Amino acid sequence: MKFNEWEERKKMSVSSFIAKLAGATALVGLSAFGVQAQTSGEPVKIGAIVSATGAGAGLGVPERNGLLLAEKDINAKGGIKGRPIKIIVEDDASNPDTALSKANDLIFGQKVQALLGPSLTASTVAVGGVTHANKIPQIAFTGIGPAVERERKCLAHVLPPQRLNATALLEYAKNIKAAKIGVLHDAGYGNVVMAELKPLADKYGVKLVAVEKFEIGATDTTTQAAKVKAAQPDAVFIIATSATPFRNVKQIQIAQPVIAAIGSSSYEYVNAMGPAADNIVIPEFVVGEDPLPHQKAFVELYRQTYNSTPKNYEAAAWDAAHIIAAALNKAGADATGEKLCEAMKAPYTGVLANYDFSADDMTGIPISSFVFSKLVGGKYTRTPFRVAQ
Amino acid sequence: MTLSLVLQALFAGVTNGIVYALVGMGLSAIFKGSRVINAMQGEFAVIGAMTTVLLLTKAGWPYAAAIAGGAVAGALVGAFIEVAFVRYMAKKSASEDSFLLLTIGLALSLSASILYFVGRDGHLLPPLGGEGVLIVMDAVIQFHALWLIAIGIGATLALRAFYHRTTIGLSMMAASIDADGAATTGINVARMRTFTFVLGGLLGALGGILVTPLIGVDYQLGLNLTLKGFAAAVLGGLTNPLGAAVGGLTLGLVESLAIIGISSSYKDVVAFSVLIVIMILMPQGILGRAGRRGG
Amino acid sequence: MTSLSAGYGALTVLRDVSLKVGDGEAVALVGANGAGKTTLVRAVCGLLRARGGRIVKNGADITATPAHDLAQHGLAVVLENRRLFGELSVRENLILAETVGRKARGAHMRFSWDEVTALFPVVKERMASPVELLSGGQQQMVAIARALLLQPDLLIMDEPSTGLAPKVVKDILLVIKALRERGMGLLLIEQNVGIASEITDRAYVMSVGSIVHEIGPGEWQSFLTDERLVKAYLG
Repeated sequence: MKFNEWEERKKMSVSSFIAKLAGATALVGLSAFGVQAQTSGEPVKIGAIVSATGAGAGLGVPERNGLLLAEKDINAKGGIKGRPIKIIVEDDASNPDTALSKANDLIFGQKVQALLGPSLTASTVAVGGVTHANKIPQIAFTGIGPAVERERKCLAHVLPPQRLNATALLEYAKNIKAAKIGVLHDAGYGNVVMAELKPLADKYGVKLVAVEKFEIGATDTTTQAAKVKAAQPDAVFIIATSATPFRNVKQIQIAQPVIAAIGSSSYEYVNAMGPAADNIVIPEFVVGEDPLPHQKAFVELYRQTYNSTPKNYEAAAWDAAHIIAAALNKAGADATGEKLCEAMKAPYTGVLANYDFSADDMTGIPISSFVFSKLVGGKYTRTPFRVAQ
Repeated sequence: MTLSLVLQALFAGVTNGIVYALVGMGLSAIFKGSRVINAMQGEFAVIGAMTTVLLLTKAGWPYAAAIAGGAVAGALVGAFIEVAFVRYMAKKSASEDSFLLLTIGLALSLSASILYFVGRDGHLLPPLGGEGVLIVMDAVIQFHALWLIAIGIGATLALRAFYHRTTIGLSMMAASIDADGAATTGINVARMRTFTFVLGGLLGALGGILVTPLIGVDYQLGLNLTLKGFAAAVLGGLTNPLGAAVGGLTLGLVESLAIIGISSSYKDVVAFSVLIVIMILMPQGILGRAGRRGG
Repeated sequence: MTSLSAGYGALTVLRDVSLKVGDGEAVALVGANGAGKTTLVRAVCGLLRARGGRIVKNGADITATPAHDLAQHGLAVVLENRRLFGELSVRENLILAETVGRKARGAHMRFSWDEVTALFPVVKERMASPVELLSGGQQQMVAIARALLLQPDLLIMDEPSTGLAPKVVKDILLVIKALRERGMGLLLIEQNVGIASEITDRAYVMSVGSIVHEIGPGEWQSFLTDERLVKAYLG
């Protein structure tokens, strides 16, 4: 190569080093000012599978946004030891068979070093066999699923297990001194959370005075809500992925405080609730309207890039990408298998929550990471309540 | 179980029942007039509701005009489907199965189109009579639900009057009973079939518009409504649109009573068991035989 | 009609059929089963598209006119098996026709509602009854009444006596004769030549889709007594 080109290259790698230093502490401001660290060389390939279409699109689309933003951010800060990271995002269309075939594609075709996602439990179960057998470290966007997942020591999760979600609901109930709880839940998501909630309720000394179920896609849950009302609870838990139960609860004038599981937190549902999106508390992690200090940079960057406010799933995906990038930086850009897996297993302070993949549940999110938001007049606000660790 | 809870269940049951009835009546009208089982009846509801939402929020029309616009949209889509698809297939002497496949395909396409153009969001409409509620012994029913019930009953009576007291209504019935006899009695049978679809589209759209303030409309609502409407129509006697009203109410009430009487987990099991029993005892549907006398 | 051809799908049933009905004339079309008589009726009354030839009425070419517009040309048909609207009441069956007839003929109603109900007493008695509850003969009366309300000057009747008891057939013949006296043209399709000869002036004999013989005015008797002819054409 010519001498001038070589000089140029030296200058660039020096400024890239400075940029990396600055970028490590300064936040997004750098890329906002257009100072980009340069990355070069063979990209480090990471695979990702999300449900960008189909029933899980409410999760997959925000996750994909988070991933792509993280990719830009990681590369802006120098990538993996100077090499760009490339996150190849595939859509499993909410179908586990598709997820499996995409996983095979990514692992054997693209030869990715790690896998992020999928969005749905069924897909995670389908894909887990392949990643486990081929020692591909994986960070899934679902909570922990069947028992077999606990055995897979290289499959981590950036969203809490349902047991933790259930605990958070009960912690808030304890906070407002609600001893009798009425529950309105759907037959899918609701069943899964209820399975964890029932045994925990005893531990918290809380009595479930009414547990009413409705089918997924139900157009009306008024009668079930009426049964909950008739049981005269101190507070009502709603565990659903639909706005309908929230509307019905307000329509029949249930005055008790409503606490909803994180599955209802997306703006899609809030908008569909209409005037019923009021006086509802949700244990979650990211309140874009009023972020915690360590979340502010992410929220700002997301706003500027996508012109909308991020929530939990965007942040979870962002964290997953950053965790794998950090692990690669630690173990080496070409690290794979066991080596990369071990590097992943360290406490990490993410935007969504604090993680520790060395924990038993391969998630390590503590109850103290939960932020309790409250819907007031259709808008999210952040309550000051936190659970002390 | 308190009286208040029973009353609340009745309120919910009747409200839901009328919605099922409106969808079912349109489905039944179409079957009666053309022997086509319309698997996309629920989509008319979504089209009507979405059109009203768009006219109200994007075009800034007054609510009454937007509702009329939504109903007309349903009617027009019905006419379009008959002219573009059904008529062609009828000329080729398509079987009832083929028509069913056609309407299933249309239902899926329409649902996907709505997802594409409008997105995943659910939309609400302002409730009639405002946000107010009527409280009877601790049981709550929204003013809008009362309006919905009243309009539903009105529509049922109007439909009966339409069929028997207007020339077009009689002609539509005649065309569906005996096409040759109707043609030689001066009735344009093809046009009557188009009107049948217009009527079905109109009723479906009306149901969708009325139910949206209560539960919101999104691209998935169509399929749910079609299933419930179909159950209502069959229960009432498929060829009698007025039977669908009875069928719808029966279904809505059975669901609600099953929830409070047995358990919310078994609501669907109980509801469908009851339906099966009714169908065994009355295979023509609740008003089925009356239907053979022109309802 | 001249040189009419018609058929279903790949099958051509009528080949080159030509026949004429003069003003106020009563003409019969006879022939064995399967001769193509009903196909002819369906072609004439617009239920079947003709493949060739023309149908002309009072100077107007109605070959391509759809069935529901024929009342405007003064043509009405009583189809085989009557084709009434069973679930509907007698009144409802008739009102539909009356509305059409009124529109077709305007103020000059040859057959008003009152006249028709006078002509058919059973119609008056059972106005509110669903048609399907009436006996075969009564239904036939309703069918004729319905056709009359369309205000035709030419009435086509396809096998009106089929399946009816002799007494009932007699009543129907009386009605037809009364109509003839009022100048109604008639094209009668009948398998029963005896009946046909009673009320028509002349006839065409059809066999296998074509007209094979013409029975001129006054020739009925000679035809009927000639066993050879009867056997040859009517089987």
